[in-house]
Amino acid sequence: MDTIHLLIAGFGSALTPTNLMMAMLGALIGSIAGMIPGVGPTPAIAILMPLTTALGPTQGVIMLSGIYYGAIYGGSTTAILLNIPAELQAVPVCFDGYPLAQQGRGGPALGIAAISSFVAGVMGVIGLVFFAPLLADQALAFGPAEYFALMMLTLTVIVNLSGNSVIKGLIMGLSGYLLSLVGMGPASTQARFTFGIEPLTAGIEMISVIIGLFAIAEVFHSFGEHESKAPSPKLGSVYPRLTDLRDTVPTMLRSGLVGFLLGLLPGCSPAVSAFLSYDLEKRIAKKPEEFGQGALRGVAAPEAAGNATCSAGFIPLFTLGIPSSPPLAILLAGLMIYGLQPGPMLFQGNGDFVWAVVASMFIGNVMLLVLHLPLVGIWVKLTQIPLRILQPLILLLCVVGVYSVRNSMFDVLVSFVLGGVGYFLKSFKWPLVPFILCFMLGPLTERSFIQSMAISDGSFSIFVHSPIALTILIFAAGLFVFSIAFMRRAHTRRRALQLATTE
Amino acid sequence: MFEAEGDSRSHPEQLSRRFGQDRIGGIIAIGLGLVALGEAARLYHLRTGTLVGDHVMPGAIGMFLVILGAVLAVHAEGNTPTEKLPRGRTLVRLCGSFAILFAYWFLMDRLGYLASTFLVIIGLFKTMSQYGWLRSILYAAIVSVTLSYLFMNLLNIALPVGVIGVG
Repeated sequence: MDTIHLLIAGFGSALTPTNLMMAMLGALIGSIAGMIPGVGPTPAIAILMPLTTALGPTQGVIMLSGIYYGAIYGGSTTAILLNIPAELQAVPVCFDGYPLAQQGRGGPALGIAAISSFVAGVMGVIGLVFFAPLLADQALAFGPAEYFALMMLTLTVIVNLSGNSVIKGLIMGLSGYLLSLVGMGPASTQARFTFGIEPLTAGIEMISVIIGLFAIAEVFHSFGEHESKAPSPKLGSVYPRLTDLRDTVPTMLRSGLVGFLLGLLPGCSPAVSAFLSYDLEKRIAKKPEEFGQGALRGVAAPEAAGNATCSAGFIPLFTLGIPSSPPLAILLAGLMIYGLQPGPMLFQGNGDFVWAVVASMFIGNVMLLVLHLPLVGIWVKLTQIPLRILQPLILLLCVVGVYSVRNSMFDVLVSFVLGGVGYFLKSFKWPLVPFILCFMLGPLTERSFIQSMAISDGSFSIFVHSPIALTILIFAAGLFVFSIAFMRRAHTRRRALQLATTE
Repeated sequence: MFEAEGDSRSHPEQLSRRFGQDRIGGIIAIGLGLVALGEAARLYHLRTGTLVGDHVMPGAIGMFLVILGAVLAVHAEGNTPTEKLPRGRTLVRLCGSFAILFAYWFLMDRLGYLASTFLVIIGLFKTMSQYGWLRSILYAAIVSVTLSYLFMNLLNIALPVGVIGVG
């Protein structure tokens, strides 16, 4: 009952005019960002995060969350109409969405995608309401050893975010840790890795790293690409027929549940659940041969699963501080910039904030449905904006965003340098998310380790004597092995699916 | 993998293909690891315990980077699939845009936000958007004034005013 009361109080806060406006603005900006090929949720959150620091933490995070799920909603539009997936999770949406658009049924495909997103998004948020406090309650007795174990658990996420090579992911993660050590050492307060460069003693600003690697690098990476592409001329009505709904609602519920359950696993990305749900629906379909030719269920399944995983991803993010996808990793940075430490104490220390954000997600999902169904014509036009016109403006926003945090031109320079580095890393397929994740968690990992060692006189037995730390470490080891096996399986299935679709 | 004679690929791409991209990455990781180990050795005398002090994380990270870098460098099998790096005019435009960004960093403190943004956006519209001069100047004037007003007046963000004294 407590949870319901807290949620009602959260609605009280989320329904204030300012917070409503932030949710609306976030959903709108996110939708636009998601629909512009080459922008997508991660750069959108990275670019706009510094500008939201002018707002309070609740308003800022409500807006950032809105940008996140708005961009996920919006991403399906380009996937269906242009066959351009803004994010990996939108790839299976292309399989059936684009053939539907070519058949002149882009409207119903967009409608089903929007309804699937709504159903799954709401399912995910309901799950968040009931699961998150349970998990947070268990995590009250956390000390340095438990926190360090939790950081090790977070490292297992790297496996899922490493792309094709776990070794590359680990190297990137370690490099991120290394960059986070630049500045004053926590134990001796002596400068580390500064090489006599005075501004480095204050450390590397998180925003500079995020903007450099995810926004500036992305702009240059898409240089000369993603020019506007004409969508299929006929869309058809965006409101699906009753028979279409009857066919797809069970798929939405099934995939939403699969997506939600997978989202509870720390490190399971929405892309994995989208591919698995598509595969599952194809396997249980009476006419599997329709998949890949323009089946509405082929749009509903990945869309619902991906969105449910996105919503469920807030559970490990809020309760353990573990992000399951790149945009959530950026959102984690946003929480930290606001002085909030996602993890066991967030629900206890900042309950008002958490419940207001959760309540705003319900409202945001309704807003998105309203925004996307009747206004589809405007969204289609947006997909026509050539990226080359937006690129200079995005770069200007990046500069102001970085500068405004500490009024430092050095931070701007760091973001440019990292933008260049990020460009080459992206081109050579080195995963960036493990880097940023470890950069963010580096200081907490080091502090908790040094404190643990100081308490135990340098003995590792502290991690064995604490039942919670030991359980987490065993779970982390198990999850690490499971993730590698799961990743290989998902890769194999994804390849098989792509092959089958292209054939 | 060696390229045929007369290959028109840009120099870094040729170099990376010849030595194997993963192998180069592995060697860079080893280099980073050695830097971290050097820093750990420098900080070691400030420790309060063998595993308590600012040297621990640099030491551990350095060690793992050297090991993983070596594994990647030794076991790199050919080249992983990469996207082609830009060539010709696109490469010039890309480098030009990067240079303009660094010029922005240099100019903003000196000329102030408005003037430097005006100059830089002309360059970016020319290189990235490929507009003509007249259109670039016109759009740059509109964009720089609008952004200045938005950030400095509406969002109250303190931006450099420079020697001209106008933000």
